[in-house]
Amino acid sequence: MKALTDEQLFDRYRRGEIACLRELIERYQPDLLRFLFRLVGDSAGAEDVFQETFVQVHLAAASFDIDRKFRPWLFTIAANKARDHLRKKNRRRMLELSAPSGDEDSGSFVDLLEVDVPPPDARLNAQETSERVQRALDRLPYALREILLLAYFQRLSYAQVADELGIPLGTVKSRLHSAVAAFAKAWQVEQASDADPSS
Amino acid sequence: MSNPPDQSSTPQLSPEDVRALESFVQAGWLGATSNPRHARLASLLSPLQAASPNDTTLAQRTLDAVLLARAQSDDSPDSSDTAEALTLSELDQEALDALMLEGLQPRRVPASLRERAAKAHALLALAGADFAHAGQADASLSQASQTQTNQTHPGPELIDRTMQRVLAARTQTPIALGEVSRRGSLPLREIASIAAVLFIGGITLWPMAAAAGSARERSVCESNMASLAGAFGRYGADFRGLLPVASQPSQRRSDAPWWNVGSGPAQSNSANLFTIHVASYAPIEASCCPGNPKGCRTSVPNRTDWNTLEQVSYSYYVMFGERTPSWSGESQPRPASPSSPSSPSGPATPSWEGRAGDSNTTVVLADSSPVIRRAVRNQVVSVGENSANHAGSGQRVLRVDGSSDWLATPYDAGPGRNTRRHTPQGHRQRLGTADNIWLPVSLEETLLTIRTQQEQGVTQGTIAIPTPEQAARIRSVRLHGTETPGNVNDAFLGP
Repeated sequence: MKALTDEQLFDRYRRGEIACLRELIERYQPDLLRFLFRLVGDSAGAEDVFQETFVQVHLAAASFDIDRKFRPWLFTIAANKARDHLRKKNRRRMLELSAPSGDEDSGSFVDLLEVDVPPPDARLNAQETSERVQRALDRLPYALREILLLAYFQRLSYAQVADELGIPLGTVKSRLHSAVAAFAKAWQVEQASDADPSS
Repeated sequence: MSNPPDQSSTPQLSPEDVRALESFVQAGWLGATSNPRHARLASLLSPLQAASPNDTTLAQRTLDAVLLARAQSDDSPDSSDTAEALTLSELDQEALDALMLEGLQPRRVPASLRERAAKAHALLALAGADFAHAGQADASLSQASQTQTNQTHPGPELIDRTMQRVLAARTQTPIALGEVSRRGSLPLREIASIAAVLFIGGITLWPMAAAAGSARERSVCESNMASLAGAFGRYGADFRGLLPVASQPSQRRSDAPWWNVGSGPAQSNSANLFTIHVASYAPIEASCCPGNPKGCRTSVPNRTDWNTLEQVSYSYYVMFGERTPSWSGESQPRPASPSSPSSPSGPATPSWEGRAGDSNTTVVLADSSPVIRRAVRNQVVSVGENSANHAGSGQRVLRVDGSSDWLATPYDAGPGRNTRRHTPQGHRQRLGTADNIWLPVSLEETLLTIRTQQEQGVTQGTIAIPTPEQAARIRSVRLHGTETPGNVNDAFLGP
């Protein structure tokens, strides 16, 4: 079973092999849970949405196009479920209310070369950095947070993201540009507050 | 991080009241009393105007309510406007686009953008990083981070709980296998097993190693054609059965060849096919044949066309004629292009030559044309040559009725009527009885006439070699890249 692709596993599940779904859940638990944790902001909510996602995967099984990739489909469902979850909790905008506005700093353009970002393989203080990342993500409007995380976790091209989300390709690009810029800026703010605890 | 307002202690307004209050405030607290909400607000807020300077509690709480309601409103664009107005510098945008195109691998991004792409990648990775696992390798892993490890890696109990919920859902709602669907309803999968049998039957004619690679490439192209057929179907559903088109033929300069890839939507035929990628009907990868070494990996999404002819893996029906086949298999006059709906030239008058009820099976897409590639370079063209995509063994084609075939020669006699082997004798026989998908019918007729004269001469023993007149005529038979299909049943593909 380990040798089967996601798509093969899911097809087998659709045809009655329940163990194949468990294999898929195990495969995706780390990535999907991390994605949801970043999106909804708390682990309990992330776990709820994780379960709802796979229930929805089952309910929508017949509509899955077996010629397509399972991973982006799964993450799209998860993102939709996360959105529903946050809407129910009615908390998403409260977080944004505390976020700094775009003109708090100078200018509306972000130059990535000016942003101090640890390289992906850097050894970080896990808890502290994780919390700072979450705070920075919480500063982003939901749509930008979603596209930022989907871009990373779905591993799709722009056209595929547009296809998955059902939004124009140009919108995907401009939204991701804004999302990266906003996250870069929010990360800078977090770093600045870290350097100056009194602020 | 500042604390969010306490929702429980802050009064909340309805969205309508929020909008009314906003306009009221913008009007200097002097809203038009003809608006009942304004009048009500004016009445409600009038004590504020008379209040002492120190009495700001109500005003502040009311404004807090406005801000909170605005921020909580899903429909309010303002909440994300500031963040969305923030964007990357132009170079960073290019770098991010290139990074996405290269599958989040900065080392594959052009050197000039690599540093910025690496920054963008680091940011994305930061957002999605697995700190719990990263931290486990760190000797200074704290108790707090261990807590987080438990939070984001809860172990098998979550999997068990998830399985229980899914199984409960499965009991209530079993999967209806009959409804299992596939995007792009082309019967390609149904014929996949037949194609596999055909391949096994023909494999003895091929060296094993070449066959394995060829089979893989053919399989990918078959899958690609299925995806593109689905895209054509969806595009056709949106645009009255029209095949993808980027511009009106009237916008094209008639003296400029349509094989100039990247020359703009009005000029390049590949831009017509590229429309389905620009408009997100199909991912760009669906137009990439692994047998084409240049592929389209270096093309930039959201452009209007591929950059070079070499990047184009599939040749598409030349869409600059007066008539184009419709995806349903029936002819229809060209409506205004979806990209230029108000074209002053207007739609052409319908004048299809075919009989009503005829089933159109014209080839509209195929592996890339070798004829166009030679003609572009002004090289000698062999009109019976197969696509280079599959080492000259043949080409996968897609018909306007959604069916797909493997053609062992570029001559198409229609579904199920094609011979599988290419021989010079067969080539002569097919000339005139089948449609060469690389040529317009006008050139095919000219070639047939010349060939017939030559063969008659050989038979009569009077012409051993072409006469100077025939030679001149043969030399005049060439493609210029400005030709168009003779009718909707004439497959003519390029580039």
